[in-house]
Amino acid sequence: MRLTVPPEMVEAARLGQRDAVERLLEALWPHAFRIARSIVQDDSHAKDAAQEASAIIYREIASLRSADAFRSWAYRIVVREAIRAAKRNQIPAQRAERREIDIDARLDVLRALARLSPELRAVIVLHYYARLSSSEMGSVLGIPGATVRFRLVRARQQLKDTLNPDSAFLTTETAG
Amino acid sequence: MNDCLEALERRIEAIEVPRFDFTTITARRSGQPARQARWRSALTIALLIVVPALAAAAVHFIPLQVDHRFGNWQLFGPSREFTHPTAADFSTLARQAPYRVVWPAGVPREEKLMLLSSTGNEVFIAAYRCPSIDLRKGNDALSTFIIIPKSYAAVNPKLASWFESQMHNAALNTLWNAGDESVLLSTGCLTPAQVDNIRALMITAGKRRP
Repeated sequence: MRLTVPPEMVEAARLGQRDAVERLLEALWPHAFRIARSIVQDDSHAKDAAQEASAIIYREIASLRSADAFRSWAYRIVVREAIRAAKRNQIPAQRAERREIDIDARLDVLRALARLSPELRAVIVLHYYARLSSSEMGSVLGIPGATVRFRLVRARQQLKDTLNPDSAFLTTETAG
Repeated sequence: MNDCLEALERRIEAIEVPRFDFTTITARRSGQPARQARWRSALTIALLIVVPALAAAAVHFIPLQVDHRFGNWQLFGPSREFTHPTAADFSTLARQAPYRVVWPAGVPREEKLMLLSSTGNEVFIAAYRCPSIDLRKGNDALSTFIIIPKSYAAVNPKLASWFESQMHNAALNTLWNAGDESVLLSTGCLTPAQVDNIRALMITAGKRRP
């Protein structure tokens, strides 16, 4: 789901109008929380990360160069805080053992997502939920577009291994 | 696989979102950014540990000299070690300092002066080595004076007050005002009685200044 906010609202927030800031952050909040929740994989830590990101946006919005850049800029802060929270709280990037893939993960793409590293979760969420292009994702994550595409391929491959039991077992049996 | 990924948007969309709380966000906004705090901690460590340690290491190799390059001034010890600096050593350096300096008078006579240095007209650092202690075994062997002139506080009040607050918070350090300078001392090997004596002498010296 793409975040859309009126440019005039961003502009008013940049100029320090408290009401505009509140409305802007309220519009961003569901996106910020859901992105953070998908990366952090924990409600409490996700709420904390989303609130911290919102506070940073509030504090630094005056330095935003143009209203058009708001979405990428805001997502960058949200993703950065979410990855930081995921690492701080040691949510493990579980690389699924071939024979121990749990049934829930096969059935639920959201749980399968938890098996990726926070960085790979971020590219999947930004691509499939926030609907950002490679270049937009590169801007959000601070990495080149080619690196984004590489991470996306890796993330999809790892998800595929988790979600597709046939290929997983086939690999195991072949290896065994 | 593609179906699953396309379904991801719906699954994320279904995540229940907690209530938006602008009051909490406003409260957090006024908090100090964690990154800034980390930078300040790093600066404190650099000033209190790294600088005196480097200074102590350098003094073994550089002969006695006053160095004015790069806008800084330093008095290095001789290769035989710069021990027992005389009053003449202090006054020579004081005359060339960009601000008036209350010298760390009252340091026990057996202490060894390792380095006097300053960065421009900002901060003056003097490190004393405790007797019979090998510096390579740790920084506890140093008593470090950091002297901040009031003129610096006028130029950069934010950093000067931060300096003071940092030192107030540090358990092993002490702070006082003497004349035109604020004096910060990381006590190192000095005993509380020695610290009291030094403080009294420096405050007296500061009051005598015109």
